[in-house]
Amino acid sequence: MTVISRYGVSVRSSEGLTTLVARAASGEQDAWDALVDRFENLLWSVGRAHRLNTADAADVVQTTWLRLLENLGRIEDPERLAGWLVTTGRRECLRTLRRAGREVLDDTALDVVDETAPAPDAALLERERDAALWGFFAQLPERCQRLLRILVAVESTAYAEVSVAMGMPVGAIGPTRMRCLHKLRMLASGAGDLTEGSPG
Amino acid sequence: MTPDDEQLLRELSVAARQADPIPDQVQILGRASFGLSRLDAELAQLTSDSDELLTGVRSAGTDVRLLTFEAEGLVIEAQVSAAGARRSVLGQVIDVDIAAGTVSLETAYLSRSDATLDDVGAFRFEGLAAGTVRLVVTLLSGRSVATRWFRL
Repeated sequence: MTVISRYGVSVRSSEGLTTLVARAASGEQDAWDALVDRFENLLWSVGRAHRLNTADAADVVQTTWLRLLENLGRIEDPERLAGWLVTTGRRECLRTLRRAGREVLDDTALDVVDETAPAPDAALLERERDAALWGFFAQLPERCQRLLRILVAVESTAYAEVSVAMGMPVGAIGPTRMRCLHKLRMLASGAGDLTEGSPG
Repeated sequence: MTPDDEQLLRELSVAARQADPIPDQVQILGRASFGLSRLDAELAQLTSDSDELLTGVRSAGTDVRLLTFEAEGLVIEAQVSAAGARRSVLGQVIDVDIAAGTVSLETAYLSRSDATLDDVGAFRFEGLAAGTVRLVVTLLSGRSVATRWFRL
């Protein structure tokens, strides 16, 4: 079973990807559900990293699942499924952008959270911090947003494969990630330090 | 990676999920898609696509796309036409034996239309919305062939 951590990233389940893919390929719905649990947020992030609007990003996620379904029995290295999914999802994104003949649309992708909803104190503080952080994230260069958006949706063990799938040279991944996080930290510290732990 | 960077990435992960979560319908659909797996069907590969061949050459007003899918001993030709937002598919199944059977057009959003192959294996679907679809041919012999998913 997939476990969702406090930070929302699926942590490694007791069942390996090779087993899950094989079981899904032989028709077991629960194995498929576990794969969807584990990677749907990653696929959603791929769509958003390409600045697709909600409908198009949803379409990319769904089309990628269908591609995975038709290829379940042919995945060469199931342990690197994250990379396969990002490659496939990215291809669908580029197709969508080409079809529409446009590059960027709809900034709702980067909208901050709805600030009107009241919440209990601790949760409110946390939400405000998250919203502020998201606001700074939106000010990062496109390249940084694209990379970080993908990295936060995947386990750290898959960083290399998903970055390469996003078209980044393997040697550039570590330095770029570091530089982008540094920029984010600078933006945040310019308006009060967000990286401190929450009170209490 | 430094502990600080790890921490910041984790915080950003939470922020992303709150500010822009994957919609519920997308999650539900992803799970339900498993119903579209056709473990019994052969996969017909896309072997020709006029969109790939004619990019930039096609003149305006001739919005017709020709697709060819092939499985062993069987070819599925599909001509996709667009009229405004509506799409139609005119196709033919060419089999080494006489192609008699049915064909379904399935959409990425889990809807389906059925048609019967006529005496030369031809079929037609009309009034379709743009989107990702595939054709699934079931011959009288019981043989089942699904095309790869393609875009209408």
